[in-house]
Amino acid sequence: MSPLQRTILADAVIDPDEWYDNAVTVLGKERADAALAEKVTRRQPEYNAAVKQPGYQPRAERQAVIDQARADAVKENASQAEAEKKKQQIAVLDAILSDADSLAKLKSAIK
Amino acid sequence: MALAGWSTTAASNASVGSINWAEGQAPSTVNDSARYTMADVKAEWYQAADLASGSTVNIGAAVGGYMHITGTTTITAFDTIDKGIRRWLKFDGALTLTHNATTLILPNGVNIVTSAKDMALFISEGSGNWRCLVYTPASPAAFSAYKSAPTADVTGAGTTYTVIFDSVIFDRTAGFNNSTGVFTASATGLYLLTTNVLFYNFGGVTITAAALQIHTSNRDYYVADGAFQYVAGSLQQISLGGGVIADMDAGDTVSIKVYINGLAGDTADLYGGAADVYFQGALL
Repeated sequence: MSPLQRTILADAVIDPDEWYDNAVTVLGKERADAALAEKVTRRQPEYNAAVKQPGYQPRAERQAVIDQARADAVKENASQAEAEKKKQQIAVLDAILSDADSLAKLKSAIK
Repeated sequence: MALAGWSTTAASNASVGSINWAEGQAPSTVNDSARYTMADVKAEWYQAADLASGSTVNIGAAVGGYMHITGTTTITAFDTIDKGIRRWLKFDGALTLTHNATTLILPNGVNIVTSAKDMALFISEGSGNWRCLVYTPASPAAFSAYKSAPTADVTGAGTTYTVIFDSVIFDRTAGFNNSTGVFTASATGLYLLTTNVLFYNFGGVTITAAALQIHTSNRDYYVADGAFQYVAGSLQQISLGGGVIADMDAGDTVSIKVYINGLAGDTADLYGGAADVYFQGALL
């Protein structure tokens, strides 16, 4: 894999070396090289356009941003779920205390 | 002259082979011209001699409408022949057909890496330009695998887990790895991918999130993704499933990733069984 092929492949996949090594293992070197050439040829126009944009990031960096945003959303949801859980538990305790207060008043009334 | 050289204007067909079939031809040559014509028609429906792959392969000049292409040399062009002439090709090995938007138009506009016994139908558009009307892999990719037994403690506290489908029901292109759960595409195209997983044993705690991801080389697809708020009486089992049509290039991979969040640790178990935890795919 040439440096240019690696650069273009890195625009499409997270780990270009892992992609190529797996292709060689499964398809054999000859077919893996053909597949690499085909993929790079197909992706080159997209890469050429993207790399001209300010702040260009290869796929691995773009994916890391996406993954972090998802992780933050999951963490936020967990935090909200915990808050909701406490809120419902407090509501249950309030109901019990209210019932206890009512029982105390009932007891006084009976006396 | 073979059939490809005939004219659609009857008057222009004044000879066949070396026989003058024009008005006033000698009666003694009538039978020869008929036999030549029969031979030409037969040749068009005949299997031509095998042709070796090369940058330009003369399928138009070949005597026969069907032929084997031997060798593994990349093909970038075919020879010039009249518009509308068709050729069925059967490839004997792995070679690359190089797409060209004018001279060698391939389906989806992408190169094709052939496999032995693949078939293709090409039609001439004249001037050395050819269009592939049909490409039929001898064994188009299709696989089905499942997880045969449960695995304990795979996720629960947000850990992403790659599901290993260890039992293969079928795998036409030997592209599925049942040790890693990864399928590798051997041909470029659109793949229908479907999966289902089932988690259980949450220890009486309500999970806050669950997701199922089809992870391809080109992009990720979340086919199931739920966020859960606290409910009295906690959820203790969840089945996640879905499918996508994904663009994959030859050499690309796809695997299934999952995660659950909300537990104190990775204590959720992944179920096993062909009915509940499976992964399937097919080239469309």
